Amino acid sequence: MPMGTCSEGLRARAVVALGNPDRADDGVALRVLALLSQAQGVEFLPSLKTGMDLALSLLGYEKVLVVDADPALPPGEVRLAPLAAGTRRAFVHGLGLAESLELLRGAGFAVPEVWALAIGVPRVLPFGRGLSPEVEGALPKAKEVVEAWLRS
Amino acid sequence: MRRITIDPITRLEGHGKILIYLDEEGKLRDAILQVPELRGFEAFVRGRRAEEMPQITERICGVCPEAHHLASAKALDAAFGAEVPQPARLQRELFYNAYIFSDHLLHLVFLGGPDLLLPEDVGKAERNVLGVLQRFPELGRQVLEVRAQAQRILALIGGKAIHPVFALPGGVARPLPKEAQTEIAAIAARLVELGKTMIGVFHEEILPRPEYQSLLLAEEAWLPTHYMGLVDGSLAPNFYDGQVRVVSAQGEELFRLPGDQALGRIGEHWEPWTYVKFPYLRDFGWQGLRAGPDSGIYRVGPLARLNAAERMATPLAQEEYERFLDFFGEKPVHATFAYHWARLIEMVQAAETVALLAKDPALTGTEVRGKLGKPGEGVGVVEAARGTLFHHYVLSPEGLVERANLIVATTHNAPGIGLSVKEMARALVEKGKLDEALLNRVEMAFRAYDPCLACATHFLPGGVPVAVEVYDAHGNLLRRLEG
Repeated sequence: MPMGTCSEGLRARAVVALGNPDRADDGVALRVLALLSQAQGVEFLPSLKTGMDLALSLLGYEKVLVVDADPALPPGEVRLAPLAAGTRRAFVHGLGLAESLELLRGAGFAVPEVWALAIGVPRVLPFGRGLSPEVEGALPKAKEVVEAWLRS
Repeated sequence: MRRITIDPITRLEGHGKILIYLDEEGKLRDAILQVPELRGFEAFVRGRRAEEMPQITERICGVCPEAHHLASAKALDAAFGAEVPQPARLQRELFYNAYIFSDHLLHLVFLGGPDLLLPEDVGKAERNVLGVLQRFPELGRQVLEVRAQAQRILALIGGKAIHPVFALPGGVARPLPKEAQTEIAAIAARLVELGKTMIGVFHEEILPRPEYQSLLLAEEAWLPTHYMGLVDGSLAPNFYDGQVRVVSAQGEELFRLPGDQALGRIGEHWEPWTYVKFPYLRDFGWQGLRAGPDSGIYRVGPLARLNAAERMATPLAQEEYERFLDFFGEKPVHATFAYHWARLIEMVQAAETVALLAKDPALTGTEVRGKLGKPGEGVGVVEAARGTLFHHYVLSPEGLVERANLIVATTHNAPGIGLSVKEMARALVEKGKLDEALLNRVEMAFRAYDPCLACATHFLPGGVPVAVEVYDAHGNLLRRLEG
């Protein structure tokens, strides 16, 4: 049940933007998405959800890039890496995207290769719209990384 | 190469914590649930256009945006004095029942599943969702397949399952195509089938287990509070609409009122050690953090809805509800671990309701938007998977938000969760069990409510794990468990 469209003979890719534009720099992924030009075989997905809901929505794609704000990185820093499961076990709603994909794989579903593009943001994200100058400054680099990932 | 973990906890200033304090003799002195919160939501929405609210509020919780989306739309229906046409109402209700089914299913099998489906001697390394999948591979696969299909229903109505945008003040954005109705009806049959399967699994794999029965009947997990839930005209639970009914700890109806009037019967108490507010029934007043028939503390969510209702709305759910009442032999059921069983019953009702609504010819009607009147004040109430959700807005004559207040399920349940955690900790500490088993039982008491701190703290995405910390009489940290 892929959400995206798929040209014949071409497995689709998806770029997912996680975050809340009403929480200042937490909305950086959506800004990155807005900078990208639509390309054949690529679906752009803003998402309010992560975890199992997002994982199920990604079934059917070959490769997925999840763009997200990361308070663990210095504000404005951009990093691309494979999405990895944390050491945290499932707790309340703590069934994260990586764990959900692992679960789906274990149940025999063909899950996509998922990468994460993390953009450093401050640890505390207040309510408000617009990015801080440091995070705004990271947009060109983030766009460049996504475009390179799409070409790879 | 550095690997990246997407970790929602890093977005909050601090953890949700269960703090357990011991006295000089090593007995329980106190146990509290402490929830962090970043404030500012109410100030942020002030002055924004009212129509933005269903989108703004659905972004505050990555766990149940569907609930906020529709509670917000209902508050705006009321604030604009709009009559929602039947096709729009049916779309909303069907969508909402698919969400309840989907959410409850995930909790039952994968989030509550390690507690319910795995024997107590299963070690920590296996006591997780993968452990459940390894022991029940066919069930796990079936659950994931059907859940994906339930998401398809959300997408057919809501636009995208991961980002629903369809409800507007007075209705919905577009009529539902007939082919979508046909597809939903076919999926609904699978939802009902899985509901039947899950009832079988519950009676074969979960209920007979002595560990679960001891939890259901444990004195420390028996909490006599009042209960709140939306009911329809026949006093069956209704997740999308109805009147707010509150029954006492003895099962008597305290009130049954429309959402705006019910809101006036709820007070909110603040404690200095947590950001989460403690709601209580004004009729009783705030009597401190204790349960009982004269306390103002009430609970919401699956168990509360079943206690606040007199019957279920659909046949299979009704059959299971009767088995549930037969087991306990009394109503209200105060056993906290019965939340899981109640969740199953509600999941079945939601599946049957989806099937019923999917056959309604009015579902594809083209009149989907009612006329809006002048902006004013409105309250919208729905039953989120975790319990009653109130949105209350006051709009200016120009249609801008002057004031907004939200009371979410986990906030209603915060006193109950705190008390359950405390009683569980007390019982285990008195048995001298200051070990992994204690921490696991305390966590289980917390998890039975399926709490959503993301929602209580207005934070995206996904949720916030909770740490359990045990302190001695001198404030030294003895143990810490982090989810």
